Order: sequence, then C-alpha cells, then structure tokens
Amino acid sequence: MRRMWILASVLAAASCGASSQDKAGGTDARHEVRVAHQPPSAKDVIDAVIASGNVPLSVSPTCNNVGTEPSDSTIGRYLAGFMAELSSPDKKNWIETQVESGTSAKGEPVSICRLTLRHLDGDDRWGWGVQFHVRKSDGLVLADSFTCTGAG
Amino acid sequence: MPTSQLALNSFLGKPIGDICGNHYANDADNHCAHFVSHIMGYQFGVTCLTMFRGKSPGANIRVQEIFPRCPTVGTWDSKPQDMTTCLVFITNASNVDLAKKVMSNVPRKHIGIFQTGLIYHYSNTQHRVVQQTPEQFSHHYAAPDNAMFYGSLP
Repeated sequence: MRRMWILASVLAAASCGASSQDKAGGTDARHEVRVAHQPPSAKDVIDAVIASGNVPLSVSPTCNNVGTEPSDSTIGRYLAGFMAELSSPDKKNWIETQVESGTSAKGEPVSICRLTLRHLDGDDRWGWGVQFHVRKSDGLVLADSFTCTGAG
Repeated sequence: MPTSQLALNSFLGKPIGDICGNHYANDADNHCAHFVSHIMGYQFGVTCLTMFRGKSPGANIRVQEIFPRCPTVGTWDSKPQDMTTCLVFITNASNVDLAKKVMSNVPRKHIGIFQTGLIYHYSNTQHRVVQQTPEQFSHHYAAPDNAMFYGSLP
C-alpha cells in the first residue's frame, strides 16, 4: 500500500509541477528546472528532484558509489534503487523534506533543499537522499549544487 | 586509535551523541560506519562534518567507503588466525566484489570492529554501542544478507 502511495506521488509530481525545459539553441541541451513556489514546498522539493533525475552522480564527490548498483550513474537511478527497497507493506517508510535559507557558492541567496528517503525496520535503518539549492531570484534549481546525503 | 579491548569497552552503552562531537546523531540515521570511524579516526570521504555543521574532526559515515580502504579483505572464514584486530562487515555476498574490493551501497550492510574474539558495533535499534561474539553478529541480518567479511585496518 505504501509503495502504491509513493508511486502515485512520483507520477503526480512528474505530470504537473516544477517547470522544466530543455534549453533550445544549437548544442545547448541543458535541462533547466524551476520550482513552482518560493520558498519551495515539500511537494516542490520532491518535484524538483524528480525533474532532476538526469543529473549525473559525478556532480559531487559525495555521490561516489552511492548507487545500489555499481552501474548507477544518475541521481534518478540512485534514488530509484532506494525507493525500490520501500516495497514491504509492513515496514516503516517515509519521505522527509527540509528547506532552509542559505547562500550558494556564488553568493546568491538560495533555498537549501533536502529530500531523504527513510526506512526503519530494526537495524535495517537508513536515510538516503539529496541536497540541492534553489535560487531565490527565479526559482531555478541549481543542477551543479546537488550532493548525496546518507549514512550507513 | 583506541583499539585495545579496554579502550573499546569504554564505549559500550554509549549513544552516538556521546561519541560524535559534531552532533550528527539523529536516531533515524544509520551510525554503524560513523561509530567505527570516530573510534578509528577515519576522516576520509563523506563525514559527519559533510552532513552536519560542527567543530570537531569529522568521521566517515559510509560502509562502502571504508571497505575499499582496507589493505586486505576477504570472507570471514578466510581471516588469518593471527589477525586479532580488524574490521568486520556483514551484508549479502552478492553486494561484494572481493577482487575489485568494492561493496555496493545497499541498505542492509553493517560494520564493526573485531578485537580479540569480540565485535564492537553500533546497534541502530538500541541506539548504543554493543559487544557481540562473531556468532551473535552473524544474525544481525537474516540470510542471505548475513555474509561476513573481514578487512585489515586502514
């Protein structure tokens, strides 16, 4: 049941929410993602992560070997590996989001957003996710700000 | 590195909040690698300081980052008899490539410190440092996630 809920959330967020567009114009195929509200809501944070699924894990040293399979190479694939572990209906799973104000590496005011997938079943206990910045001036998700969070 | 049995015993019963000076101590997080790294002084890779603001030296928090740092690794059964202190890992054997010295970041993996017949590790259920025999430790996860491996100290 819980898995169905998560799946529904993912699909709903992917179909209507953060605007994303491939920047047209010659060879520039950058994929820009913007949040729907400022400061971002929990739904906006989840939506932004889904829309940023193609961000490579090479974006940060914190993402080295975080995938559940050695071949995982994107944020989307990394998180999908842990979402796939939320399948048991009698275990405790939840999605945690946090938003706080901060400053980007370039000194711009940003919202520091964090999404954590959590699982709790005795000593099988973990929280893996991502942190990223949303520029306050225009709601742009700064793709190069992604880091991978989690321990264990 | 306080790897003597006496020194390790001094951590028994302590919650991670008493060990980590950076206050990275959320009970919902997994602190097995975090505990081992604070005790052993492993400051490489992603640390508690990476995850949380603090002023104390950071300690690594990821099992899959510690495993390849071990000079030698192998199945628990192949541990040299004269190796009385080492790291011990438990996970599904399919998550480990001993030849490449790689462990995947799967959810069910755990680490402890083996010292003269006992394993010291952080119980994320009890929220404190505990001591077990290797046989007791082998039940940390149900099969098939309970294959044990040793790693000489990085």
